[in-house]
Amino acid sequence: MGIFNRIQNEIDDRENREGITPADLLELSMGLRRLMNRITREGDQTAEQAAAYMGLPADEVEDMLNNLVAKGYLERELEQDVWVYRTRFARKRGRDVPVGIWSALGKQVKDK
Amino acid sequence: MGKGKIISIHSFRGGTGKSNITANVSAQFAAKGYRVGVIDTDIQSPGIHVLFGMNEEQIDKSLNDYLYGRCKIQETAYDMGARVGASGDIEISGKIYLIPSSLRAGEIAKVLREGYEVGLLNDGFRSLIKELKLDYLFIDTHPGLNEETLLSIAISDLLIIILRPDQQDFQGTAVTVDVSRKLEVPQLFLVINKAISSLDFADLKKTVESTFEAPVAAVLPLSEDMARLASSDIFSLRFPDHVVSQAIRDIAAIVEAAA
Ligand SMILES: Nc1ncnc2c1ncn2[C@@H]1O[C@H](COP(=O)(O)OP(=O)(O)OP(=O)(O)O)[C@@H](O)[C@H]1O
Ligand SMILES: [Mg+2]
Repeated sequence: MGIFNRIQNEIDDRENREGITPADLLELSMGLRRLMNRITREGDQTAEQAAAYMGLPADEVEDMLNNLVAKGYLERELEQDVWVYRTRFARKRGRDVPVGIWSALGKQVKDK
Repeated sequence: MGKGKIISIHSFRGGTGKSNITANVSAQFAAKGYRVGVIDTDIQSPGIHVLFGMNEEQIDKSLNDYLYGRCKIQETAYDMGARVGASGDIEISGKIYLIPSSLRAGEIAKVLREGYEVGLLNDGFRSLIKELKLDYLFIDTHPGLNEETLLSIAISDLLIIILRPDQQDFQGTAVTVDVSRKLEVPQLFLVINKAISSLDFADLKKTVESTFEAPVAAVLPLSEDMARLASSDIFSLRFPDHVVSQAIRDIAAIVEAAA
């Protein structure tokens, strides 16, 4: 199976998300991680740029990217008639710690 | 120039010297004429502002205000040129901006309790480079691997991992090196800090390089002079002839050549 099919299958098997965490990048397979790392580090990529980096045909990579948008891993925006893809990060969730701490700190803020 | 490179400084364990080394290396870049930004992503325990002589009262807007949509990120950048320049005889011909995290207990609590938009932090790094026309953005991180730290590694062009000659640091560094390889950081350098004088520095460097299969940019001695300054100033500008300052300049030269 070629790299294109392997990555597409991996994306298909993944659940829909509303963005990923930076830690999620670590558990992707090598091929998909390479693509996601590139988009994350560059900030944004067109299908053509990502394809050149991956050494794959642009139409195949465009399919992958759109698949990743559908799964909630990327977001895309039209810039001068070209789709530009960016990593979609999930909100960092808050943590639960003893209630007393927050109210004590909240009071300190109000006192200022 | 005008490269807009992102450089993250990390260590797996705390207290290794990240904030001191970040402030010193970034100041050396400003002295070389570059435009640099220094951002404190240690939101839960901020500290690097101290090295630039800033206190809570002087921090009006912080990274936290940006993360909660109260202002633009460039409004949280403070020009440190005058303060840094006052440290010694070295002229700061470039620019150095600090983006501090809030020291207000309630603001720190809010981030821990409510979280924040990671995408906004990511956009913020890019906007800083663009709006302030930065050659280099240095990211000072929280020790260990939290969300901000992983993001900073994922987007950095160059990563510096600081470790002490200590078994706990060695094990932790192995984890971070592994993460940086998985995230394909283009350039990775190690810096050994707080090495006691009885150690053979050349030997230590060789051992660490072969253990982690990554270059060591410098070995800094455990220095009583540095400890005495107690993060109250930029050591390498105050005491340029000191061995620690020479090591800082070595790191700056290696980073400059690499990124
Ligand atoms: N080479 C050195 N010799 C002696 N003391 C040092 C040296 N480097 C750093 N220190 C001291 O170690 C302490 C910790 O330094 P620093 O705050 O820079 O570490 P850090 O890694 O940023 O810590 P944290 O993980 O808490 O953010 C400071 O008191 C600093 O003065
Ligand atoms: Mg620190």
